[in-house]
Amino acid sequence: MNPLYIALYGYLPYIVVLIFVVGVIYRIVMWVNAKGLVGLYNANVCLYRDGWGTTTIEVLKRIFIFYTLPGRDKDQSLFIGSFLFHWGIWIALIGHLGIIIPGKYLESWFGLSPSLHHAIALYVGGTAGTIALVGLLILIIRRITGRTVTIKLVNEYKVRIPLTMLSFLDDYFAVAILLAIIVLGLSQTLGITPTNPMYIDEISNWMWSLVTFHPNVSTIVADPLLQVHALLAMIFIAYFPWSKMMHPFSFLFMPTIARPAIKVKSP
Amino acid sequence: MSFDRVFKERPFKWGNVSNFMHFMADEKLVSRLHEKIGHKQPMTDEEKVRYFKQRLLEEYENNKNVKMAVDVCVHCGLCLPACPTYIASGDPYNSPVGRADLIRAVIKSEKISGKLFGKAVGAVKKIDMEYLKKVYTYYWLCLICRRCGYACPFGVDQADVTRTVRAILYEIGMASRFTALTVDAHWKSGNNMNLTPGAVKSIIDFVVKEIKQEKGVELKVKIDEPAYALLLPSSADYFMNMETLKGYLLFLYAAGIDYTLSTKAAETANFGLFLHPKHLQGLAEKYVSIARELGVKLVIAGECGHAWRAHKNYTLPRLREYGIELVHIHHLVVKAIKEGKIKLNPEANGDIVYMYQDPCQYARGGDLTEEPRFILNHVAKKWVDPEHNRSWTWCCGGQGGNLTDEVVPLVAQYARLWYEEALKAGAQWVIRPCSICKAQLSHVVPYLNKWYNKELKYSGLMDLVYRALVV
Repeated sequence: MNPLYIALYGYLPYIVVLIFVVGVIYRIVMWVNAKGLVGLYNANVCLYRDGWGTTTIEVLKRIFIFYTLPGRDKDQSLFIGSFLFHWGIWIALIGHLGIIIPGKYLESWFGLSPSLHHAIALYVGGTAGTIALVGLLILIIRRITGRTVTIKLVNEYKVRIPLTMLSFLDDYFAVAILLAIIVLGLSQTLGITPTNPMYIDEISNWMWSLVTFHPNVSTIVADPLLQVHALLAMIFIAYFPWSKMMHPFSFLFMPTIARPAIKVKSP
Repeated sequence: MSFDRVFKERPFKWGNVSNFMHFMADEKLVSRLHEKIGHKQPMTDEEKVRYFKQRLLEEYENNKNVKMAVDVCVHCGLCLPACPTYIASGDPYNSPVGRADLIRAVIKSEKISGKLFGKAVGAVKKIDMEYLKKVYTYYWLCLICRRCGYACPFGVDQADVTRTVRAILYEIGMASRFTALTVDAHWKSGNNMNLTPGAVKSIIDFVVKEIKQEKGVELKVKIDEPAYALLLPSSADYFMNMETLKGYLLFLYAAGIDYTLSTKAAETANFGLFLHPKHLQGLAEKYVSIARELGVKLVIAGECGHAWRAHKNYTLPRLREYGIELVHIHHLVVKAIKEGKIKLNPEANGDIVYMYQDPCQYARGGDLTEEPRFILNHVAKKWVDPEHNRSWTWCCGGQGGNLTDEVVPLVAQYARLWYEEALKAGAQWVIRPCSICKAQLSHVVPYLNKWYNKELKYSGLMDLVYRALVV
């Protein structure tokens, strides 16, 4: 077998995972270690949130329901695009667990029959991928074209959001690679049909071989689409910790959100 | 009108407001302030540029707000339609993300990606004094109103980045003259307006006489005497917002609270918030030591937004170390109403339609939005909320050191937002219980009333409490 295949799909995944884990930990440690606060104190961006319970709810609401994005004077396309993209990606990522564990184990451990697994992969995975793609396309279009928000007072204030002016190579790189990963992943997912039931197992045998530290790339040799998808995903995973892609983790450490405010006690 | 000359000399142009650079403090003033915080500034332009870059990188490494702002911003643009400076000026640099990119460009230029890809990743090639002047111009035009922080899904508070960058600029000798003079006055006299102890006492005598004439009660106001509480009015309340001052004095009398004023702290403000953390700390420590000297158990902050932010978040934790609490005057009014200690007659404030507009720093970082509304329910017959209320309130336009005369034509544009909000709801009188708001309104309302052909009025909230109090 071509040693490049073995290097790329047999050994590179370990390096990528290592870079990801070490990178994420490193970035978080850097955030935590930056102990200074502007003006020697912290001020919250939420009203009357001075307890840990309300603070935790705030963090979870921001991560999962994007509640600050929609509303008056906001660019609704950001909420729609972000909501669809992120939820699509999360569901798709959970679905990837189904191709890490081979079908025989899924059935014996979780009672998931191959036909049900295929149906879930096709319909749930396909829907999630489509949702993520639509969301990402909305986000890309708004980034390229910019947006205008109208604020209605006595006069109407048309506020231009010149996103091209404020976007740089790293912004475009992230969306471009995500777009390619999603398109390739989705085309494979939608290719899972009853006439090709072994498709998932081909991938899972490779993935499982990586999980069990016995890399075996032979099952994916004949699948160029998967190879490109996997390679791009590895590039993205390795890039993730060193970029703004870290933003989902920020909610847990952002001083303006993740800390309760100082409470005033009336005598 | 007072600012006609400035309107002629500095006309507002949509899309480019770089002509509104704040006047810079002279070397003598900056040196005097540097001495207060034990700072020695770099001298040559080359040293200044190097120092700026080095300090910015230091802040990026050590300051959580700055580090996370730079690391996390995904350029979604949500802060743009939230920022009054951008909405009203259309200048992309006069916006949170525009300002952020001016310094992200400097940080990027020192990173590997910046060295490899340069402008493509937003890194700037040449950082010189001209570039720093641009940074200075736009960072001092920020209102520090924090509306962007509330709009940002990640809570990136560009106002905190603004304060950090201003602090570094100050360290290399670039500080807004107005703010520097104000901080200097506070250090020297204990208040922003250079009021002498004699002036404070005379004004209080005068106010007490007026209260006697208007309300029929003779107040005995302690000055520099031990008491249960220390009242901190804004220095502007001593001569510009006298009705507000009367409101404090009569309310505290009616509620039976033993309090004193201090000639060493005839102020509640802390313009260190806009200039440098060490000045914020130093001025706050003055309040702490005066409270301790007088042996009070409670400090009462008067109506002033930025002061409340500094007091709540910095002065209060420091006072607590000595067993002293700090509240806003509105907290006490609410408590007195709830306990039935004061009698209020809303009829006294007439049939006017009032509008309550939250001062930025009460509603964003101050947790003080419901108390003033509770009070209004008891002192006014008719009042309305603006559509953009609480955390979405519009800045008066004078926050963050932008009360300075040379930017009036620009901040009058900022002020259109809250002004139109009032007109839209049919309000006749705007309540803004903040000293900076009231000062800014005194600058811009004459122009706005002329432009819109209206007669909008304004005041603080304690002014209404004063009129409504039955004693």
